Amino acid sequence: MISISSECLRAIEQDAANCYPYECCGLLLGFDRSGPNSELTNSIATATNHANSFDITDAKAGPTPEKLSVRTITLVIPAVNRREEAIRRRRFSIEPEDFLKAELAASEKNLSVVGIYHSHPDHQARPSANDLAQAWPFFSYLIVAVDNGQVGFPTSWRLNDDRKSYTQEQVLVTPEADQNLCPKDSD
Amino acid sequence: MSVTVKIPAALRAYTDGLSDLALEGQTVGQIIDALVERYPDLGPHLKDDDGQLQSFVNVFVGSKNVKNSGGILAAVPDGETLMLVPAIAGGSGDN
Ligand SMILES: [Zn+2]
Repeated sequence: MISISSECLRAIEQDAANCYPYECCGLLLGFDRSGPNSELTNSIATATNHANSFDITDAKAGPTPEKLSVRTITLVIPAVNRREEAIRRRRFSIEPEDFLKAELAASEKNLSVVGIYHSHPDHQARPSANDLAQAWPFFSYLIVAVDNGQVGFPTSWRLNDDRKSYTQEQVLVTPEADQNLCPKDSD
Repeated sequence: MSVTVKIPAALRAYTDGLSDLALEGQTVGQIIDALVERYPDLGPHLKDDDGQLQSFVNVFVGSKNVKNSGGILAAVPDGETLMLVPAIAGGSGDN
């Protein structure tokens, strides 16, 4: 499961809307709370399911509970999409130098880079074959569809060890007060 | 003498959690091979079916990305640091 504050989600939605009709991309910083199948993971997944079925007011959750570790995103760093303009509607790329900068910023705040977000302009929020071919293990790949300029709710995916498939993870949006702030990054 | 290899957080599940490894080799390719030999599960994430370095893996020797300066043939001096860095890419287009 990936837990993201509404403020961080807004930063992603804004980036996706601003970049439309091109793809946006950026890095998700935060922490990975537990290993797979931990008690905490299961108890949170259960609690979330419960909340999801009944009195969900502030939190919005995606469709599938699962036994991945629980991640919390506390900072979003938009990145420059380095692909050439002709293909930027359908492709994104974050340069290694930009990644290293984000990693440094993360470690200074005692966080880690735990995921990547990008948008799919006028395309469904599911990983493409192209996404799969270049995916890294471990990271959460958060995708937002942008339909005619309207940004949809994100889906999130983690590459399986076979490099042929993903596990979809639940996206939980939490009220800001619950989370560390998601300050705007000046880069 | 050996080379220090820095493993990114995303791959540490395959290296028993280790972030720094000491490996022997004189070129980037030899060091990657030594790494995969020690941790075979890393193989598919670093090399493609033809044994080439995956396009989404960047190798820095010291502070220099070897992509346009030798690639896997780039020399790695004794005592130098080799760092694996993600090149993050994708998109909605399937081809
Ligand atoms: Zn994509």
